[in-house]
Amino acid sequence: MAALVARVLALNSSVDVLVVDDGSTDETADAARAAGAHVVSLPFNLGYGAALQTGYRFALDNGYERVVQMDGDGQHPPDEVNALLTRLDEGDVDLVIGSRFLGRADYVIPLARRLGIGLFARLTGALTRRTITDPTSGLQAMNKEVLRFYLRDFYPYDYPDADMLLRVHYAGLRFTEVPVVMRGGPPGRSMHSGLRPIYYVYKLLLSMSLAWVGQRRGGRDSRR
Amino acid sequence: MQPLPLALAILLLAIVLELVRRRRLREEFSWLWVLGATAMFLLALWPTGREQVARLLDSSNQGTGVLLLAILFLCGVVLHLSTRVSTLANQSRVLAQHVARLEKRADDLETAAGAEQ
Repeated sequence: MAALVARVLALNSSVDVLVVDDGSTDETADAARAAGAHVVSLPFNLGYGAALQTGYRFALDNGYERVVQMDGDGQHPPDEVNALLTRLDEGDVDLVIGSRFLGRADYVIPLARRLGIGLFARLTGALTRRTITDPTSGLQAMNKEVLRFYLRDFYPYDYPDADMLLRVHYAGLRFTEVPVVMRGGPPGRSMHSGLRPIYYVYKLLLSMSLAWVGQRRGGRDSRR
Repeated sequence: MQPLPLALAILLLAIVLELVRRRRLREEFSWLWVLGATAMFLLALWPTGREQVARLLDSSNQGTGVLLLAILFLCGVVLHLSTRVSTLANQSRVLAQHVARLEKRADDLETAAGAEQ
């Protein structure tokens, strides 16, 4: 974690780094703080989405205009931060998503995961009538409008993925994908291990269906 | 086909989906009810399935077998909710302790600031 923070700061000295410590019991928070990051420690594990939302709240409370979110396991290389920010700064989109399928994944993506991403990419593409290659990517850069949108109560506390992309689209926010290189995370227990993939697929299908039904019924999500 | 259980299964599924849509039921808790409603739907349509359930649960007739299955399902739901309540109780305790520590820190900082002035 310390190396990741140091690398992000070395590549772009004008950014601030926030590490959301989602109830970890090791020295992650201290190491990140020592490397120069702001650290928010949650008292217990709240889930990936809830941790991200904590970061969005921090960014809005402290007046940040743009945010890049990335996983702390090293899967998202810091070298891509500037590419995402540069694309966001062009001003014609509100959200930039780093796609490993437009770029390159420097690791073997397990078949089940590749099939899952493919399914949700096709589904999201069909529902938005756009070509989407990596709807489950967590490497994203966003402006304040998206930050406010992500703080709404429908933001999932566990797996914010293709369902949020669909809601972003239905809310009239503009997004695009840019190619990135992703690496494999460290070995260990993934949030997609055990029976979780089954729940993940169920949850995303349900959430996407409800987002689609809500939009069809005229319940277009307002931006604020 | 049994029309009443079939209608009840569809009604249960509709209620669960509507609750999730209105965000009064989280997806995390909906899957058990969706599973239950789907099982009820299938068993209402499929007499052989009811027979197999009855045989599996060592029951003399289909109705009793399905009832036993429903009781087992509800036991599963209660157990699931009990574990969730236990987790929430633990988390509330941790949160309360965390808030108390933060309040103490804020008091100390205010006291120190007052002393400096």
